Amino acid sequence: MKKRYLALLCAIVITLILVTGIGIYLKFIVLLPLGLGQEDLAVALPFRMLADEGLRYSVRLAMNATDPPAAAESTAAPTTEETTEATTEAATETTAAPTTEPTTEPATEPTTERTTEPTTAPTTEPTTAPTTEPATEATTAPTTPPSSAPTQPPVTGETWRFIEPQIDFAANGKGDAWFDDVLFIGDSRVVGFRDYARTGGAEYFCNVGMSVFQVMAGIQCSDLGFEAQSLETLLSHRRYGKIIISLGINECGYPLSSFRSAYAELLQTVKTLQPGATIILQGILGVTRGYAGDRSYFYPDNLSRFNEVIKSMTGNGVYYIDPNTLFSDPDGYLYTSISGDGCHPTGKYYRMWADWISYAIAQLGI
Amino acid sequence: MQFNSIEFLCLFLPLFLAIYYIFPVAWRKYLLIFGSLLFYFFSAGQSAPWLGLVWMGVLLLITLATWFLGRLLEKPGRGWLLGLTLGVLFAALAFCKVFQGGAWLPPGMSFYLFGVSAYLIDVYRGRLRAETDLGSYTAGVVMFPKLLSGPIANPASLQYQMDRPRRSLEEIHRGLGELILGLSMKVILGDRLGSLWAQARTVGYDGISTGFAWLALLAFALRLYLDFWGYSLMAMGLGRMLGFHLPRNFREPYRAKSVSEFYRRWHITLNQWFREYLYIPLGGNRKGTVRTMMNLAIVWAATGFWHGVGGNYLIWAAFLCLLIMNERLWLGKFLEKSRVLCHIYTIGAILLSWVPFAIGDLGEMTAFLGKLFGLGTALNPGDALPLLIRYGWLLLAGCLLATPLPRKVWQLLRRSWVGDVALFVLFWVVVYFLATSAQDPFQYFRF
Repeated sequence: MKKRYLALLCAIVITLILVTGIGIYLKFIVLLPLGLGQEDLAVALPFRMLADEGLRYSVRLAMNATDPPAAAESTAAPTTEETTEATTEAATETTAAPTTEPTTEPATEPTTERTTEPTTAPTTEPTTAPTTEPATEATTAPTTPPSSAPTQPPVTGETWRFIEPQIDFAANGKGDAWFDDVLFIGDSRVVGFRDYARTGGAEYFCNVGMSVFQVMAGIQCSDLGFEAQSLETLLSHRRYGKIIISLGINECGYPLSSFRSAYAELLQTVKTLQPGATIILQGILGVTRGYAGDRSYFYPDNLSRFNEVIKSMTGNGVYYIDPNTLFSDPDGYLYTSISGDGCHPTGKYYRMWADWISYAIAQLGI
Repeated sequence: MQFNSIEFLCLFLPLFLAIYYIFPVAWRKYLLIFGSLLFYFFSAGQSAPWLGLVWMGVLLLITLATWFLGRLLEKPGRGWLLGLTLGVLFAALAFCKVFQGGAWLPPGMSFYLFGVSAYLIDVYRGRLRAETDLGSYTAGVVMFPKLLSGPIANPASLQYQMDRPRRSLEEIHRGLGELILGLSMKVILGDRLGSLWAQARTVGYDGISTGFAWLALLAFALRLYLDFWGYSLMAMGLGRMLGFHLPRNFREPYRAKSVSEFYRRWHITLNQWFREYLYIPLGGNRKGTVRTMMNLAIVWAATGFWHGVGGNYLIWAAFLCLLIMNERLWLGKFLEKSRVLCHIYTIGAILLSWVPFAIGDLGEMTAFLGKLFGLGTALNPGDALPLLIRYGWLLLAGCLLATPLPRKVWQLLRRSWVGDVALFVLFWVVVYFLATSAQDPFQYFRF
């Protein structure tokens, strides 16, 4: 009897030590040098590597990027800047007191003084450390002011009220028939389109938690018109006239450089397999202030860095639309009143979003 | 730091237990105090270390003060001192709950103060001798298995156990089993049922279909049960591994034949506390029907407030209180006669009562209630079916766990090595789930 009791205890302890060992190896030897896994506990990493094909893919990607020729290039290119950003970001997040309101900072427009002197800001004001990401604004412009949505007056210093746009998007859009040969590729936000705003005969390749890494790693999805299969298989067997890619919120904690290369690869795959298709890249919609909390990778300035990357890939039949002009307040956060969970608009706003896509595309003159 | 976090399971607990078992029994209370304070620091200081230190200080201060007061209260005729103490403690608790939406309420303070005040009252009543040893007292009130979310342990039993710490491999093994089973219920089933409930909010209560609303409500009911029962089982198991018996908090509540019985089986230690230290001192049911009803109303108002300051908790408590009054006066006789109807009534009433418990905003609450009864428009009338396919087996497993069957199966299994293999597998499945999904704190930590 006693042997049995000991056996369970020992089995758990021994496997725990083993897994921890593997985790420490993964964390300190494999992942940290690539700018990944800063926030993960070592024990968790073997499981994350097992479960997340997107993570495995981004590791492969980052490993390739550190090959000698690429590394030589990156010393001068902005990639180094980004990887160091990612690590300092994580460092400030863990050390600084996140109770300081992250809400006040992004309201102030990024000024030129701050962008030119990125290193001084965190040292002079240590309390605002989690929100200051001075280097980020150096490369990216602040989010474009809302053009189609009317400007809203602030209720208080930090909360903005969503006012329904006056434009009738559906009437001024492309019409439902335009969507008949559309394929949406995306994360949970596209799942919302699929479930609550199916438009025309559009098809949806999407999953909750989807990332470019997962798409490129060959994750399988299904929709009404097709069985579970990878994107590559789907695109090889069907013709689409337009492809709308809406990814990025699940990647915003990863280094920007791996996002850039994975996104470029995805775009290349899509172009190769669907040479005739018009490709529309959708910018990453922000989350609410409350949802972002002290997670700086959800802050608008970080998301706009990612959006700049997406935007930089336009041209030659590839277009960019930014849903933040519709659903984000002037500070770049998702309006609280249109979201139940802080990350997604509620069901009825997906209809508006779908109509807005139609409208935004019409505005582009496609 | 929660029991269902990787940090706790794979780091804090193994290290603490190793130290705890290596050192002699006599040192254990000090190790327990040290470990519990560390645990509290990590839990309370998650957002900022200084906050952890402040709350730890507050905890120690109250512990020291109540230990001293306990000794004073042992002398007869000091009712005024007891009244003053309880007044100050509960006023402070109420203030912290109300002020800035509870932002200044130290974690677990509701549970902690209820335990401490039970001790003081029992000492004053002469049912319990005041603890002379500060170390034993502190270890008893701050021990980490029950510090954050109960169970609210009977102080007398803990005091007794403190002097006679058990240690046997069998107890450790049994405790480990309870810990793993509780974790599994919480992590493998509860959390994921919680995400079904959360999806209703994501889509918006005004947009979901009636089928979705019922699925979501069922998911919430099961999630709350598995989450909190799982947590209580974990606490029991941890207690047992350290050599203490903590009281059981749940006895298959969904088996109950009436709402009154449900609450004798649900969060038992809290409801017993209210019974013992509020309902009975008020006169209970011995002073006529009118007084009984009044006492019930007072107890339920307090229960509602204990759960939260929001008006929705008062609606929840008032709804339950009316049902219980009705059962006492009229309905009870009919329920006793029936075999099936009483269950349908109880489960239906409890499910409906969770609506105000779950949804704080009055407008959203009525929208959801309307949805349950087919009012309003659904954006996608067919949205329940994919959910049923995806979450069907979780809902089924959850319903099964609300019956006595799993307990009976487990009692057979745990006597053989099959049970151990199951525990081992479950442990790693839980760690896998925790490692690969975002953390979702216990609903009950807020209180």
